[in-house]
Amino acid sequence: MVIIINISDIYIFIPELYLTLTVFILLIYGIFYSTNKYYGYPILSKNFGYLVVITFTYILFLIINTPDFLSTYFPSFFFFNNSLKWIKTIFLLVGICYVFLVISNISLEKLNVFEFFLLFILSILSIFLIISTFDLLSIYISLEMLNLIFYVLATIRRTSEFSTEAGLKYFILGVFSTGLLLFGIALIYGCIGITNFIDLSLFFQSIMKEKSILEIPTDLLLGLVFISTAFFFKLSAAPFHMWSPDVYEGTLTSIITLFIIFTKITIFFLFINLFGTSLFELFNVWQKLTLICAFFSLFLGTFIAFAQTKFKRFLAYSSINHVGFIMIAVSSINYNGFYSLIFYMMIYILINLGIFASLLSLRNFRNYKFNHQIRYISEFTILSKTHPIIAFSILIILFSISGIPPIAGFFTKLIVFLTCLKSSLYSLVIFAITISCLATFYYIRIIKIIYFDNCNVWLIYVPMDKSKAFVLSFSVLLLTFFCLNPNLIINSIYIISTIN
Amino acid sequence: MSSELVLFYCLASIIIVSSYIVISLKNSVFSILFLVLIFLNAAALIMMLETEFLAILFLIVYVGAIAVLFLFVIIILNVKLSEFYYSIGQYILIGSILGIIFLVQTFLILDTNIEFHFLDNIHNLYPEWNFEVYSQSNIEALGSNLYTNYMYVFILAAIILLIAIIGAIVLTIHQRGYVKRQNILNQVSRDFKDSVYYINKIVK
Repeated sequence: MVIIINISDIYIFIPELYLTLTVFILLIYGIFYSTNKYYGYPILSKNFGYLVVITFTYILFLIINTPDFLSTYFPSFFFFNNSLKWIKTIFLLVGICYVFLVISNISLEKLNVFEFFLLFILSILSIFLIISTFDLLSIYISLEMLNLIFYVLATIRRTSEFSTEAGLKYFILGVFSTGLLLFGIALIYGCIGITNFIDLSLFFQSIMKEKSILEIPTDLLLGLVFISTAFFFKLSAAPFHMWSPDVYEGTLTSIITLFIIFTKITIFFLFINLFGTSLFELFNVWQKLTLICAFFSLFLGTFIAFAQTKFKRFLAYSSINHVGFIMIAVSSINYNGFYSLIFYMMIYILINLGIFASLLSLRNFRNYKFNHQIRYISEFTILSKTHPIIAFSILIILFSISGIPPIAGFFTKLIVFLTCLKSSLYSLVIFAITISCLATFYYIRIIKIIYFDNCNVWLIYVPMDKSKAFVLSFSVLLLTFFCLNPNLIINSIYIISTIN
Repeated sequence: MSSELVLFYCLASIIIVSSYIVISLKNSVFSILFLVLIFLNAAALIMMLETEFLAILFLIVYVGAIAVLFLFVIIILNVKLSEFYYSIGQYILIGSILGIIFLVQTFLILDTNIEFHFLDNIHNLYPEWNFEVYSQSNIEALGSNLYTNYMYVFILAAIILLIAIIGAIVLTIHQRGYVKRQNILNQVSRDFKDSVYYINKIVK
């Protein structure tokens, strides 16, 4: 038997290939230098951060110069099209922003292992694989790759009990959801013997012409329900959200940034790929599931967030609320749904970059030697006097999250509601609007704590470094001046999400 | 009733009984031994489907690695008796209700009898020699598929193993600067002529 490796497959795969080779080279470099007595056992974490930035800029060139055609590669385990190319570009830019965000905090948090950035590159590699996956088997493999990296990253501060607890919780629940995913895949494969997306979509198109949805074998529907449940677990959508606040609270803030920014968009992209193309004919089934999840995550994400006193738990519930909005975009099954999802995710990423840039720079001095991360919301009091710039940017970002008109967050919700109205889900839209009005209360409560509450003890913060300030200003300026020419970004995202 | 069906019922009932014993025993070492019994019986079930490779893999991975790992953990932790003294009556009502609902739903969805499906795959007793000679064996078929059609996924699995190694090293190795380590290069390259010398050699 002769194995034929298509040259064009390798040609498309070059960015990922470069990423893998870089990982190997950086691994050898890190091990060699960090254990070298001659160089005095140097701490390479900052150095690795800049190397990651260089790597990503190279891959940016490689990705932009990849050919523009639609194809599946590696015997149809993965696929490639034009919109994927631009989404990969966005991921790389966000990755560079992320490195700038955390590069000073890893030394403040004493995270002196060079493997942190190595695992970060590997997670970007696995994200590339996930968003380009085209087969049920490669979904499992690439998702497992991402999850394994994230379990390690959640536990990376192994001396802290919070971190180990969070890592263990993440691991057990993540493995549970992966088990559900595998069981669903096994049911579908056992029933029809197909794993490829195109084959699945062809199969369902032909079967739906002849039969109604009630005549489809129930094993298949059960498999679909299991797979979507696994995805909801990974997205921490509401009935399956229990793990996410605990995990977010326990892990380091710089790593939580990675989880929040990258996982949601990746899994949503995969969800759209799988359910929007191959299982599209069964939308009667999975639309109901997404509607239920949207309802619950809007409801619980808003009302449980009222009770939170810690800022990271608050952010976790806020992200559950966001997932609810994105679920609305998913469940309105029309052509605009995908585009409004991508648009919402872009603004979501921007908001999170800004909010974590401000949270990461809020480290107050306990004495001249030690500083620690701010944890409670009540510690934000008189931030307007102690750190006015960050207070103002938190103000802008929270207004954006709650959807106050001139700022970008308003437009995302608007577009999601419009696409939802097009597929005539009126009651859901009314519910979502009411919920988002209620949710403004607790965002504005934080603004009130920052600007109007009084406190006699003034906290002293670690000065903000240049790279974090760059990311913060990038996010805040883009959110604020988005209203000047909203069509520019909206149209470009529309083009990205619709060219194939 | 054919002999396969009798065998299936025997193995399946042993699995169910011993899985109850696993969760009901107080002594965790015994419960792990019963877990091994479950794995053995499940491997026998897989063997009945004539997929020998999967059965052996099941034994190697679960009995050889995971059960032994469990035993190690229990012996290292030195937990003789389980600390959870709970009464079963607390959970028996809600547990049985949930279990019955689950069973009913499962049998409604998988409406055909599971064991008849199971026995469909078993060939008749007399071996078809023609078939036996010219067909690939289990391992051959798996290997030829893994290394050709599924090659790329296989390579990705290798990268996952690399990540697991990196993760294990990050989470366990704690490097301290002040610990004295053995440097083999220095030891080997040491010359016996220079190792013992008078002090005044340095003074000069």
